[in-house]
Amino acid sequence: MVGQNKKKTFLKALLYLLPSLLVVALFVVYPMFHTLRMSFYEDFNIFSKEGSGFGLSSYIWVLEDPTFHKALLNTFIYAIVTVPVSIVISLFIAILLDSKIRGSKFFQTAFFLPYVTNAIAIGLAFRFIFHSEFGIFNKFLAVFGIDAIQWLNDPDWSMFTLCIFGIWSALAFKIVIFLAGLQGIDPQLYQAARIDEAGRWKQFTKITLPQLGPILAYQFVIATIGAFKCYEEVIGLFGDDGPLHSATTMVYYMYDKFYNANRYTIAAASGVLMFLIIMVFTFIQLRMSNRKAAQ
Amino acid sequence: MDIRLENLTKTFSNKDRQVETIAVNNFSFTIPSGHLAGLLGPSGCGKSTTLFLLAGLLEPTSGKIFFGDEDVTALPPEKRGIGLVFQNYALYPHMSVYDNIAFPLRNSKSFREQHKDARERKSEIDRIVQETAKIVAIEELLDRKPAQLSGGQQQRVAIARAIAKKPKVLLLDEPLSNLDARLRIQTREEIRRIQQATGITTVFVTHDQEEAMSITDEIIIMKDGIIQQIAQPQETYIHPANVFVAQFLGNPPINLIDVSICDGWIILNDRKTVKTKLQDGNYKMGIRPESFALGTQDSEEAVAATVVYKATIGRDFQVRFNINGRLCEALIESDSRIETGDNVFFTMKRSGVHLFSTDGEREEIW
Repeated sequence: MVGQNKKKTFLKALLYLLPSLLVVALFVVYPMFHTLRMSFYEDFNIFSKEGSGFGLSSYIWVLEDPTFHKALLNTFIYAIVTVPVSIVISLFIAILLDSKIRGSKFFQTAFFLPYVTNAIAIGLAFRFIFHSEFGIFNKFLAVFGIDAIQWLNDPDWSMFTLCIFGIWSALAFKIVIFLAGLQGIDPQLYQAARIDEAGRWKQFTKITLPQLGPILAYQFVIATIGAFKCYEEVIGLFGDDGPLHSATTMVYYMYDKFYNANRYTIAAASGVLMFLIIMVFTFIQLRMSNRKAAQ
Repeated sequence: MDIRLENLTKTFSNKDRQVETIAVNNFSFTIPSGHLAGLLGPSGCGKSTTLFLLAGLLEPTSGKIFFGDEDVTALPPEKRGIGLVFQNYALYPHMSVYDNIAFPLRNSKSFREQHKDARERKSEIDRIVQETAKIVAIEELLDRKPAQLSGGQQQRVAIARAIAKKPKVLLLDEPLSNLDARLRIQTREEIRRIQQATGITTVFVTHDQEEAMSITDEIIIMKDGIIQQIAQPQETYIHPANVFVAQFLGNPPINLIDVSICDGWIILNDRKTVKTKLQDGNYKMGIRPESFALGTQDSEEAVAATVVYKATIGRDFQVRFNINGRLCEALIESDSRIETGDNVFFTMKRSGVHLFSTDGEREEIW
């Protein structure tokens, strides 16, 4: 009887879930398998859906391509630099906003604005800011007697420029999440800490950080995934992948191979590789934060 | 170390509505060293505000606070050397019980100066934590997290954290409000025992009169930010300073009747009942329910009344009747013969009878 009931409720639940399952299957699951299949051909016709040369040739091509190496390296640099730096800066700003400073409501809105603005549009604005001749950045540096830097045109600087832009545009979302986390901490804990003679720094390390633990872990995972998927920032800032492909990233590589070079199987193979890399990193991070939580 | 308040006042202003609330109105009193004082009053009377002023978490609008001879009014809480037990304990949820108790010691500058060597300091902290845990009987819980403890255990951890650094003053903000009835009685005796064992001057905030009565050396009764009476617990019950105190203390509450005095007699139900030295006029009279007893027509100072209600509650009868048009309640020993509708005479114990002027101040009857 119980078993029968269970089966009945399962079918009923399935019926309710069917519409969204269909959408997910059509737009997520099917393309995923299709991409996987496509990546194993040497050549593929996306209209007839027929491929030739089944095997690992596309993967070999991608792994031997120096531009892919560059994209891989750039993506890692971008993730390693922007994730920790943006988390530290956004936490600092969130703490400032959370303290009862004058006009904190205004600043909260101001800091959130970039999040609701299109990344391409912001990139265009930054192109002017970073302009070697008229940009405000170089004008500012000139005050201190520093020569104009070719932010956007020099291949040696382009990654640096991309990282600055990446950190800035990642702040808004993180600040909001941190603010919510900070406001969730019981203010009496700080009162108790003051009674217990803990100074500002002690309060931060012994109360704020441990209390934000789960949120920090979440931010870290989400930010890393976001950094690995960096692409809008590149297009917005450079219009392409920077001088001499110097600021290319994994997703930009994939996009470039698909739309510009029409090498569908190469794009698919690089996409699968990227998927594997992100999966491994997320797995490691979750394991690490779980172990920390268990402690 | 004694605690002395001089004309302490705290007002909160609400800018939107242009209202000013006086939470603490011109307090001046001294709590002698080693005493356990209770701040008692209904919700919103300013007792927690007073405690937070003592802790330094709030700044007074005017007035001064002294710990011993030292003026601490301008000192921040971290420099006052106090222990505070919060109403909801405010234990650090991510730290073990051990770390919670050790936290104030690890932060204390004076402790660090006393024990310069890091290893010696560590073993000294360990010794104090173990010792304090023993006082509040939580030795077995030291490596648990606060969330794994019951309310009573959490509360004892909070007390341990507050007394571990040997504070000059211990402040408790309704520490028993989250406990069930049995645990509450047990813990309040525990607090009294710990306080007497350590000899720390302690201020205890509560809205529960029984709690305040049972463990304090003196009670400070407050209403709307104004002190009503400061006295020993029994004193406040036997000699309430005004109508508010008389009504606030005692369960069931005191009977309050409008009376007039004629030719030196208090008139109750159209009978000259009690002889008094007071001037003729209108007064308020308070009679505790338990000070009524059954008398006869010939009894002195007896009031005649008709019983309108009778119920048995445990060893007493709960009896209701009218005096001067006001329904009164009495607790009468259940070996008396009494039924609803009986016309009877009630005598009153003098210790349970109080007279107040029409504006509420105590008057001595005899």
